[in-house]
Amino acid sequence: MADLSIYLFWTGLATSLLAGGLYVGYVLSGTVALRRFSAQTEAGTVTVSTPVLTANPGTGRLATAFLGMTVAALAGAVASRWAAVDHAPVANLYEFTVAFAFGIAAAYMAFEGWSRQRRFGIVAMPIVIAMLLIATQFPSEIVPLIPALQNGPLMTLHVSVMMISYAVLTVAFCGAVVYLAQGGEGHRRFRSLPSAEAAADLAHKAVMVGFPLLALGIALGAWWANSAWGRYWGWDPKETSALVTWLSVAAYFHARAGTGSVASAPGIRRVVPKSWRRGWRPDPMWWLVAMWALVMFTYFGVNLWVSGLHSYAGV
Amino acid sequence: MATDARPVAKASPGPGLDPFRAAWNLLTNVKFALLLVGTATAAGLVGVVIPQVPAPMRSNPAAKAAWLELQRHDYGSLTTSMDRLGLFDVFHTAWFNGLWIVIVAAVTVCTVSRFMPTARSVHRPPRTVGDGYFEAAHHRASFSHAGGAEAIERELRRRRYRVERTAERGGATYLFAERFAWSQYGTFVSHLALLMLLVGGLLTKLVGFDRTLALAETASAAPVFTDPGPGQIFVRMVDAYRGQDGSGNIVDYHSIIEVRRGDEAKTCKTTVNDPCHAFGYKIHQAAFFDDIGRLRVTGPDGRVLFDDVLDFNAKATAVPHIVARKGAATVFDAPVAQTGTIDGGAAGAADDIALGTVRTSEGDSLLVGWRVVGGTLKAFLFTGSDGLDLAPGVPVTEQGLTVEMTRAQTIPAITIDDMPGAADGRAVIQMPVDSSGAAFLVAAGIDEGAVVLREGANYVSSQGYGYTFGGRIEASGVSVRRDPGDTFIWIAVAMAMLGLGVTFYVPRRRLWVRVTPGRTWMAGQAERTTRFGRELRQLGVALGSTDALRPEDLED
Repeated sequence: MADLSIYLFWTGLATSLLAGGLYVGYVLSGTVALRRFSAQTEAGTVTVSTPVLTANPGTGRLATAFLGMTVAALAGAVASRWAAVDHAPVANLYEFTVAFAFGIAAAYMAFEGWSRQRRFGIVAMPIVIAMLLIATQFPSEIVPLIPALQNGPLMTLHVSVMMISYAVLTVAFCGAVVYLAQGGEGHRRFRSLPSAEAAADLAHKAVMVGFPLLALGIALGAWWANSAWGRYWGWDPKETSALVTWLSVAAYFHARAGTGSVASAPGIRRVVPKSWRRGWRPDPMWWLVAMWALVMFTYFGVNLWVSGLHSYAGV
Repeated sequence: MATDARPVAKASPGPGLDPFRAAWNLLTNVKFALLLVGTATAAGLVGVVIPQVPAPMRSNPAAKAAWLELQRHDYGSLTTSMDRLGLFDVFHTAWFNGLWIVIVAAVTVCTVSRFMPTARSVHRPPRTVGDGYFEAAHHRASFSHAGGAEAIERELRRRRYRVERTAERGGATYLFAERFAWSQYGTFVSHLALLMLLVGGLLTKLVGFDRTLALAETASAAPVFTDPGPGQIFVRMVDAYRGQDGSGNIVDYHSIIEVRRGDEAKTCKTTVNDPCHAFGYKIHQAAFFDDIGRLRVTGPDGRVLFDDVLDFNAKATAVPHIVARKGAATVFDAPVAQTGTIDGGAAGAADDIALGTVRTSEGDSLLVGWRVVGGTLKAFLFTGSDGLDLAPGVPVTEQGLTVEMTRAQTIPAITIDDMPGAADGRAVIQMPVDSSGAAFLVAAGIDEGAVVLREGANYVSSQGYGYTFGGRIEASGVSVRRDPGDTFIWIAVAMAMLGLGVTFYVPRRRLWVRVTPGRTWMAGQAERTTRFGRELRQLGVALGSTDALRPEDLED
């Protein structure tokens, strides 16, 4: 089963590379395709070539098909690893990262289906591929579960919910990247990419799924900590980092709710120089970019560089 | 962005500053909330990135100072300033606690201040808007269709809106429609949940109980509370267990403990994930130690002077691990305990050389010396008056033996200042393990040279004192806890999930419609979607309109 998991992992990596290439091709096909218009004028026949905005649907369908194969292969890799290790395969960074790549691919596929919009794949697939490539750098040997992790139901629930929330928030990040690349609401720098409004909608919908899931994941972790260590919160680097990520999404919601510069809040405006006030109003979508940076830091940074009670979940 | 150029009447600030109103305005301001959330985010990140002083050192100035010296290696001259700012103990600083007090105040004020407006909005929503709103609203639609107001009412009711006609004037019919208005209480509930979390946290801090006990097997029961009384609870370690698989991986930690209060006693097993519950307290397995030995000392008259555990308490000394082979047979494979010292002459022990003896299973004896230079253990083998360097992993040959230092390792070692029978009262005791894995004691200071105490054997010193090593003892650290705050935490979590669920997933909509014979205008509010305008225009399409959609609705 362990060998089957490895084979399926490599299959998933191969299909994700193909899917990634096809998504790029799909988006670019909308840019490079030219349509020629000819007109008979007094000066003779004039032919004008203009870019066609509709991307090649066949390429898009093929990209989605390979995405589906990636999801299936990675689901198989996770399932066979589960059977091999006899617990949810989320106990070390190799297992986390493969599960995370699966989660991002599956979440993106779900949101692609919901939004009927394939072009976000140009941002999502490189992340999936990067995760799988990173996973190849971690040891994949099976070692027994240490006593602290020997709580099957809670480990499965807590880590899975965290992983799914991070995966869904990654989809939100993809929407935010496209939104910001387009120049924000009302702008459209790249005709071949989805509109800023569609990107904002995708990002917001994904955040509305990811934010409560992240809250639930943190709460499940607190529940587990309370049962294992006798305290629900201990400012451990991993739990603090997850809370910081959650706060960044809370900041996104508050940033959306307010208008104008933060520095123009009553009281604050009295102490902040006038010239600074205008600059304190970044687009709320930047909070989602910061949020994803924090997700990555929580996921890899804390495990690899910061020691704490979650250090056993390292390499 | 459209702006109203008309002068807006402002309430007069009145004479002087009203600090209560100013504070209220600040705490209910969403921009200020954003600033607080952003600051809490940044502070949390600082606490994660910068190493934090371990909890047991926080109340020990000497230990904290030593820990800070270690940080100086990374942070150099900034260390002192960072310490003064509390950056090495972020989560216990006054400024961090102050930040959370302000957040608590802001959440409280927001929760209180939003209740009445929320209730008003749910029960008495503004049913009419000015005609200008239909041209300026962020979410709006305008289209022509057949069927008039009746068709819109039908379509909206089909979509689960509650619809009412609010006015008919100038040939226009005005409608007000709303769906799931009650879901506005969602954010109220989630903010209330935050308050509940903080109440739980305060209860934990103020009335929770937490004490960690290190309990060794065979030791007498330890009291839980510092103040004796009729409610005192005693915990005794029956068996501390650590299970390893064939590869040395730790696969199990557990303790069998006896918890006693008065005449009542309960014996139970506690593991990391399954604490023992007794007398309203939870007893968690927190740590495992195997650096404890049992020692019995008798005086020359046979009286027992000491019979208790010798807790090395994680104190250790670095020694070389030596492997010696004779031909193909391994005749020694163990750390070498320090049995003597060559004084280097200078003050202090920096230039002293530690000495130890390798006694092989064949009866050969080799003298090994070592010292720590620049953080690295340098070992050598005495060969008459000369010495052979023992570089890690490089074998040397001496007396027909192939000798190799495989690595430097630590063994439990402790200095005891009041050891019975010791020449000046002080003895240094180490507890290495031999090639077979059996622990033994090496005691310096109780007689001429170092004394080796094997388990069970009695050594009588030249002064007539008897020393018996009772063997290595396993122990566990257990945390005894009671937390009345955690119930509030789980209620708060349930409320937060409910509030978030209602806020995010109940698709609340509020809609005003102006229907004229030739055209219909719609304008609405919906916080949880960015594309309500398109939804309205698609509603127009559903009503048979051909001019409802905008170009951006077609192309994404």
